[in-house]
Amino acid sequence: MKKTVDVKTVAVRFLLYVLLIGLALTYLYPLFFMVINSLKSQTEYMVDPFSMNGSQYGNYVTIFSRFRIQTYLGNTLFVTVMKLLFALPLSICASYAFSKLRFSGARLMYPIVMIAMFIPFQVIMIPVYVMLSRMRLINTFTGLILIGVGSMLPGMILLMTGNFRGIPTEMIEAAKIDGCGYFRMVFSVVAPMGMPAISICTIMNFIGSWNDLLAPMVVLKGVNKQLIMPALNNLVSQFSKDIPFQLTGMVFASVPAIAIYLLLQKQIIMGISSGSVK
Amino acid sequence: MGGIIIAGKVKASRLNNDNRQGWLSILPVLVLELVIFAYPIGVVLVKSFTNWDGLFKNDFVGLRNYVKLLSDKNFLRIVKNTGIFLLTIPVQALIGMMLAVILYDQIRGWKFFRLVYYLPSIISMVTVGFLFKVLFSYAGPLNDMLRAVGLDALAIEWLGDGGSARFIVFLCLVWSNLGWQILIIFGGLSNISPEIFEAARIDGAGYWRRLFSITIPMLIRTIEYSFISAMLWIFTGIFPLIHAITSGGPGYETTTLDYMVYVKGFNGSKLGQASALSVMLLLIILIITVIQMTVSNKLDDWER
Repeated sequence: MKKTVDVKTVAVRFLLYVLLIGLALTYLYPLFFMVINSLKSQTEYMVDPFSMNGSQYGNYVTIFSRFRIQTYLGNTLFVTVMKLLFALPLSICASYAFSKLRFSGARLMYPIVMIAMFIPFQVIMIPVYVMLSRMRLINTFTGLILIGVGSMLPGMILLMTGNFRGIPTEMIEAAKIDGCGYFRMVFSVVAPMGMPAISICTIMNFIGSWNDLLAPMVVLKGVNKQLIMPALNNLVSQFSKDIPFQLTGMVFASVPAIAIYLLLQKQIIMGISSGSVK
Repeated sequence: MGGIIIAGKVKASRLNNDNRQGWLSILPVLVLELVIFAYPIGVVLVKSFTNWDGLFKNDFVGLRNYVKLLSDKNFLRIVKNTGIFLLTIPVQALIGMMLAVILYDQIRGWKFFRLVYYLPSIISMVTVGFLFKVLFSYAGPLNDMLRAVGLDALAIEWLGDGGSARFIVFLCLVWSNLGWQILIIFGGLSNISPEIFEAARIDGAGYWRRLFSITIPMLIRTIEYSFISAMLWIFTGIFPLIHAITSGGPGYETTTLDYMVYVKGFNGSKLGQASALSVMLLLIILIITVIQMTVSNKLDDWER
């Protein structure tokens, strides 16, 4: 009797692992496929896309020399960092106000700021485009950064306000009695204690901004002045027959985000499962 | 007001100070949100009643844009597409929940699986879309495999036909959101006290019993949150994926509402119509948000 039960659990366990590993392969194999085929010529790919004998690094040279992917990667990094540099202090100040200051506007203004979180870029992109072109900010990083900061803020404020509420008010009071000024309060007392929320905001918005397609596609018009995702889009249509070259582009577009994910997986997974970030 | 008068001088100045600091702290945010969200929405509302093309025409045309959109033969297709893609949510939620409960038992390698399943949310939807396009192309690896095992009849131009293209997008949506779904359920599960599961196991409740009698009823809040987020995402977030995988094609076979705004606005310069579409999209989002608020309030009452 006992033996049959054991056989059954072993069988179930085995099937379970087959299922889990099979599913994991559907996630890993496409990435593996992307890498092995980026090392092939077009003919090699046509002959056998599954073989692992790709041995030419031509695509990795061409993507720098002809496609100039370094420009797009650099642009994306610059724009993303600038967005964060503006959005983080602004949202830390606002979240401090919403969570710790008793002022007349808090109850009214908080939901108003939050509403913006539900408005997708598609809805506002046409007037934003017209507005930016009147301000002569179309095809500038400034315009893109402005839009990016505006769309990052509500989500950041939601997460940080929630987190800052947990900071003991006595600490704020004590700092005030010690004569702590506004900026010292925000950046030396509140911010260090709210670090978990601030870091998850930074990580998720970095990845989100890195992966953004629509806003840079709409704001930036020049061929060279582009961010990585629209550039990848251009690469795919420009080299529509050269699959290995497209895959090389995808490797470059996804590696930075994957690297950050692997390095900071703990924070990211915690942030998502706490249900505050999408 | 009365409170301030009664209170001592110190407290009054404190309050004044808080007031000033508070408003100054949120002022930049308010200005930016006003410029980037409020003003454009106003413009979209007004322009949705005009024949604006961005250059010459800008006359009031009443409801003509709305009538034109609603009577367009492609509009029904687009609404249906969005509807079909919304159906990915229950599918993804069910599979995600089953997997989350399995992984939550902390079987060997659960961290690895959780890490891997979330990968598509980290690499851009653009990359995911292009990868799918390569894998499912006519001369692509999937068809190679099908031919190798003698299923030549199945080796079709997957993205060339409306039905199969929608199927691929559907598959891609479920596949790429599964990891997110698992993480959300995981977060919910860790709020349930482990004793409940322990007790259930001692009472001999099997996996399915634990799934349907404990996990799902106790995770109603989490499931509701994930449904609403995923719904908003289907309405507003799948542009990059659609753009990469099918560009809305063939024809309008995989075009969704939000993709259509882009097509009308930037490919056809029918900005009036695009604005009307934006207004519809905005209304849908508002409705979902209101539903979310009422549902969660109700649940709050229920919990009390």
